[in-house]
Order: sequence, then structure tokens, then C-alpha cells
Amino acid sequence: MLLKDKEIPVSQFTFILITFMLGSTHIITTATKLVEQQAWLALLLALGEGLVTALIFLTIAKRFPGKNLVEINELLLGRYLGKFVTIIYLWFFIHIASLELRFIGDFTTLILPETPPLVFILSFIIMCASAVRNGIEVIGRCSIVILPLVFSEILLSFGLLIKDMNFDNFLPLFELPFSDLLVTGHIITTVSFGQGILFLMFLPALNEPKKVQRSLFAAFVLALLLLMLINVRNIAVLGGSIEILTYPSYQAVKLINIAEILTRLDILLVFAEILTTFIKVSLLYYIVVLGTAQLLKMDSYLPLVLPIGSIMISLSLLLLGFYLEYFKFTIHVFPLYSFPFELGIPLVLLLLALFKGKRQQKEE
Amino acid sequence: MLKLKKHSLIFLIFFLSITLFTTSCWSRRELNDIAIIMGAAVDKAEEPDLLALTAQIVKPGQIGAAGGDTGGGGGTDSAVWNITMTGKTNQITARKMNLVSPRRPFWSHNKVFVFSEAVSREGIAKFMDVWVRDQELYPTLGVIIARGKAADLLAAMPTIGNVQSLNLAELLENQGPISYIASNNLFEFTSVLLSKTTSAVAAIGEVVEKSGQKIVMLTGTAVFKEGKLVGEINERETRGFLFLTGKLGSSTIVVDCLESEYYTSLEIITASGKITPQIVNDEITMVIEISILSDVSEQMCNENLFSSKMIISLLQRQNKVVSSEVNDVIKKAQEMNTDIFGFSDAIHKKCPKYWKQIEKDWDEIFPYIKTSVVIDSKMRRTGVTTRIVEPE
Repeated sequence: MLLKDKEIPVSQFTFILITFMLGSTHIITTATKLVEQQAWLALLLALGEGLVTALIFLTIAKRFPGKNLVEINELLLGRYLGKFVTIIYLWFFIHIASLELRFIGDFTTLILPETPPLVFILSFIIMCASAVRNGIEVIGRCSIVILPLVFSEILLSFGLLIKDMNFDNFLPLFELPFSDLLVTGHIITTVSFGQGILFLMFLPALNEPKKVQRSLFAAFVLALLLLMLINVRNIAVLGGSIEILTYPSYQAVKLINIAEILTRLDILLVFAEILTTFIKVSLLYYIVVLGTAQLLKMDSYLPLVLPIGSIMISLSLLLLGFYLEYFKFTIHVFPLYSFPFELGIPLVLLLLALFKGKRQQKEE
Repeated sequence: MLKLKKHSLIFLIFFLSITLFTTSCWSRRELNDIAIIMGAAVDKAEEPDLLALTAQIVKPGQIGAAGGDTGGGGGTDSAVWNITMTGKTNQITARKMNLVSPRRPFWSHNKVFVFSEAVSREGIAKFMDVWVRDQELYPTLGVIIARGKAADLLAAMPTIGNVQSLNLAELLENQGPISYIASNNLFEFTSVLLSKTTSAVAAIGEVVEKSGQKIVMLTGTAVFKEGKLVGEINERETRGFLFLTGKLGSSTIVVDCLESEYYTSLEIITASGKITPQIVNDEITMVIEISILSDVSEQMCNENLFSSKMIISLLQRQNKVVSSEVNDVIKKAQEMNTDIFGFSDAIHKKCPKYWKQIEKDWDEIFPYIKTSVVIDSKMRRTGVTTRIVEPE
């Protein structure tokens, strides 16, 4: 068996998803620069869009209990087309994972500029590979440890920065045209909530599939609250200067200064980013490995861990030239590029599922 | 079982040996390999098109040894060492310091940046970009505009302690009780510089001679327009500016006595300022509400503080001083056409649609904006005595 049945409890599933969403904090905080003080509204719109996509995924999942995306694809689209769709999905996941891996390389070299990024990427992927070899259960347990740590980092930085906050920065409340907000909301969805489609890959591993809907929505809302806290902190502290910063959160945390004693806490932010990215990359990595093994009808996915890891390392170095390209890619290319994966194909699958379901009912 | 144990032993040895090589010391900088820079000054070099960067490096051995009496820039047992290099950009000039410094300059502990008048007039953004961009520096460090040469401020005599840059940084932080100077840190300064319409301000430092020693004194507030130094406001006007923007820490208002030529001091406990735009038929009036809570802290004449009439009169005299300061700074700012108060932001936040119409004409509108200053003063106490030490 590749995927053990009823391996992880639903509560762990919520933890995994929240930590997974927080893994894209760095790119969300840079994307929200586009709408300046109205980031909170864009985030709400993103949650709306995220919940719609989640509903689509859930409806598909309900039709096929105990099956994951690879099996659903084959059932609905046939042997060859289904395999093809699975392959492009695996590409999509490996692509995001490599981009995140690259982020680790870029972000840590900001702190340690003389170390080659490959060193961080390598040591990071070794950790992820170890998590993946141990399976989804271990990733889930890791997220139970990591999420409280990250949560306290967010709360701590928020609390320590309250005295530097200026809530006038949120005015005027509604200045930008609604279309700008929609576009930014869509960008945020594509890098966070939309990627929630990956839960379809390990759904059979949940012990209580009936509670999935509740825990998925809870995860989305809680992740939004944490992202909101981060964005409110950044806007209230940084104000207009947010537009020229590459990492707004990093600058905000650098401003912490409590009586010249509590200063230079920016390293906490680096820890939080690395930890959440660890869950994000591990989860994507696990899913790619699992999907490939299923595709090739292998007995175990373990032999695939190292080869796919090395593909991810090479991709992470080859995909981007330098950091600003990641930003450009996320706001200009990714919203369109991710559309088929996060909304297009799921919609087609849903329609097919409904159609097939009806036909089956008629036959009966 | 035995096999498994052997297996895990090999793993254990493997992972333990990894820790030997990955001690995360790649970019390490040992304390004895770095030269800690505490302050820096940017000047124009004598050669055309070059800038001169002065860094104040702390000599670790001298810090404790130098004590109070042997300090002073340039002396042989000084606790600091000022290097000046010239170059086209700050970055290359900072790197050129490696030509003279046996240790690698380390910028992370920098406390203060001094920019010369010439640099500020030319446009300060281009001379400070690297300090904002570099990840090593913390945005909480102080900014001073030097009257004349910036390096002179670093070379002046440190007053308390023996590192001049630390002195300057602490000097900036110590302006709360007097509020004659608008002091900024790098982050606050750069965020206003980014605004199209609001003008930035920064403290001006000057080398003065006090009892035979050359020390640094803050002597006013520099005003920038579009990133270029265009003028300055004096101490009185700066206090008006701080009243208006609500950034005033504390201060003392000196008012005239009614029946003698002496004075009474009123200590400000708290003060707040609020700017509200009012737009009627395309005419903008900025309503400035200032509320002050003060103590009577000193009397040079015998005025009966038990009489509420006298208290009201004192508060009225205080309001007159404050409103004249506020009105003076508004007049000065309008003459220079620099919106240091953030009137434009206030309109932008309150009436975003109206702001869209007037945004591009702001420079023509600002000098003629009407203001109305409303001051609400309250008295708290009169210290531990009720009247001057004089028989009634």
C-alpha cells in the first residue's frame, strides 16, 4: 500500500493545511504591496475565492471516497488522458516546491550573504526528504510542533510592534478600484488557498473523511486570520514605505525596539519562514513522490524520494535568475499559469463526475 | 535486532560527523576580525563628482581604558578611529576602507548617519540609498544633517563616554524633554521621503565651542522638499511643528508675568495635536486641534494660583505662546512651500476623491491653505509649593 488508510487524524489535517498556507506568507506579503493599505480587503476576497475552490475540491472528493486525485483522474478521464492530467499536476506541484526551495536559498543568503544558496537548499531538502520518507503522518506531527511556534512568532512580533503602529495608515479605506483588489485577491488565492487542491492527493489517509469539510474550512479561515495579522502589522508599522521593500515583514520585525533591550529579533522571522516553508515543501514533495509511484504502479514510493529531490534542487536553481523574477512571476504569470490546475481542471472533473453520477443512477 | 542496532550505530556516527562540518560558520566573523563601525558621515569630496565617507571605528582595547578624561577625536589614545575614503558610491567607498583597516569594517552596529549640508542640498536619497537597502543595517539608527562638513561632527569631542557616534545617537534620543528639535530615525525619515507631497524633516547638528571644547549641539530642524534640503526651521518653529503633528514629548513654555517683567514656566505633561481638513466650496481649511496638559513648574513673580481667574489667565498666556509658534511654523512652511505637517496626507485620508483632483496642483495650493488653530489647555498642579518663596 502506498497510502495507508486512516493514517492521520482530521485535527492534524487542519494543522498541516494552516502551516502549508503560512508557507506562502513571504510571497503574499510582497503581493499585497500592489494594493497598499487595502491588503486586508484583498485577503478577504482571496478567502472567498479560496472557499469556492475548496467547495469544488470537496464535491469531487465526496463522489469518490477513499480515492485520491491520481485515481479520480483515471476514473473520470480514462487511462491515457487521466495519466496525462496526473503528470501535469505532478509538474505543477514540483514546480511550486522548487520555487519555495529557491526562496529558502534566497532568503537565507540575505542573512548569511557569503554562503552559497546551494548549501541551504541541500540541507533543507535533506530534512524534507527525511520527512517524506517517513510519510504524511510525520509531516502532520511536525506541523503540530511548528504551527504553535510560528503562531507565537506572529503574536510576539505583533505585540512588540503595537507601539510603532499607526492605524491611520489604513486610510483611505476604499481608494483603489475594485478590479485591482480582485486581481490581487486572485494572486493571493493562487499562491495559498488555491494550492489546497493538493489535499485531494492524500485524502484517503484521513481517519474521518466525513469531517474533512469542516476542518478544511477551519484551516482556511484560521490561515486567513494569521495572514491578516501579519499584513495588518506590516501596513500599520511600515505605511507607505512598504512599496519599496522586497521583504516587508523582515523590515517590520527589524523595527522592533523595546527600550534598546529587545532588538534585532529579525532572526525569529527567518526561523518562522523556514519552518513553514519546510512543511510546504515536504508536503508538495511527498505528494509528487506519492503520485509518481502511483502512476508507475510501484509498491513503495521510497526509491523515488532521492531522485525527485535532486530534480527539485536542479529546478530550484534553474527556474529563476534572481529574486525579483520570483515576484514578477508570481504577479504576472502565476495567476494565469495556475488557473487550469487550481480551477479549470477541477471544474471539468466536477462536471464529469456529476454527469457520470447521473448516468450511473439512470443505469441502476 | 542486532542488525538494526549496528545499522543505527552507523547512522549515529554518520550524523554526528556531519555536525563537525556543518557548524553553520560559513559567513562567520570573529570579533577580533571585525572593525565595529558606530557612526558614519557622508560628505562631498574635494574632487568633483566624488563623495567622501567617514566611518567611526571603535577600538575595542581603548573603550574601557580611555576613561573619561583621555577621549577626543584624533588623539593617540582615543577610543575611536575615523577613516575617510573617497569614491563614486558609498558602497565602493566603504569597501575601500579595507585598504587601510586591518580588520573588516562591520556596519551592523552603526548607530548614526551624518549627512553634510552639501549632500543634503544635492538630494539626500542618492547618498543614503545603500544604507536603506543593505540588510546589515537596522532602520532604527539616527539621522543628523550637519551644518557644514559632516565628518567634523564625528571628529568633535565626545561629551559623556568616549565614542562620539554613540553620543550623537543618544543626543537625538534625548530631545523629548525639550522638543526643540525634530529627531528622526532612518526608517521614519525614509518613509516621509517616499511621499510625493509631504516634506521630510531631520535634526541639524553643528560643532560649537563650549568652554574651550568643540562639541556638537543640535541647532534646528532641516526641511526637505523632494529629497533636497531647502531650508530650516528654528527651535521655536520646530516646537510649533511638533505641537501641530502631535509628536511633542514634553517641553517648557515660558510666559510673561502680568505685573512684572519676569516670567513663569509651565511644564507640558502631555500634548496632542490633530489635523482635520475642512473643505467648503473648494476652499481648504486645516483645523488644528491641540490639547495641552501642563504644570506650573516655576514662578518668578507672585501670582495667586488659588484664583481660578489667574489660572485661566496663565493658560491663555500659554495658548498665546503656543499658537504664535504654530502659526509661525505654518507661515514659514508655506513660504518655503514645504508640507512638513502632512496636510496632504490628511486630505488624502479624509477626502480621497477630492485629493485626486488637487493632487497635481498641490504645490500651488499649499502656500494659500487657511488654517485655524484651536488650543485646549488644562492645568494639573503647581508642584509641591503653591506660591513663590516670598512673604505675601
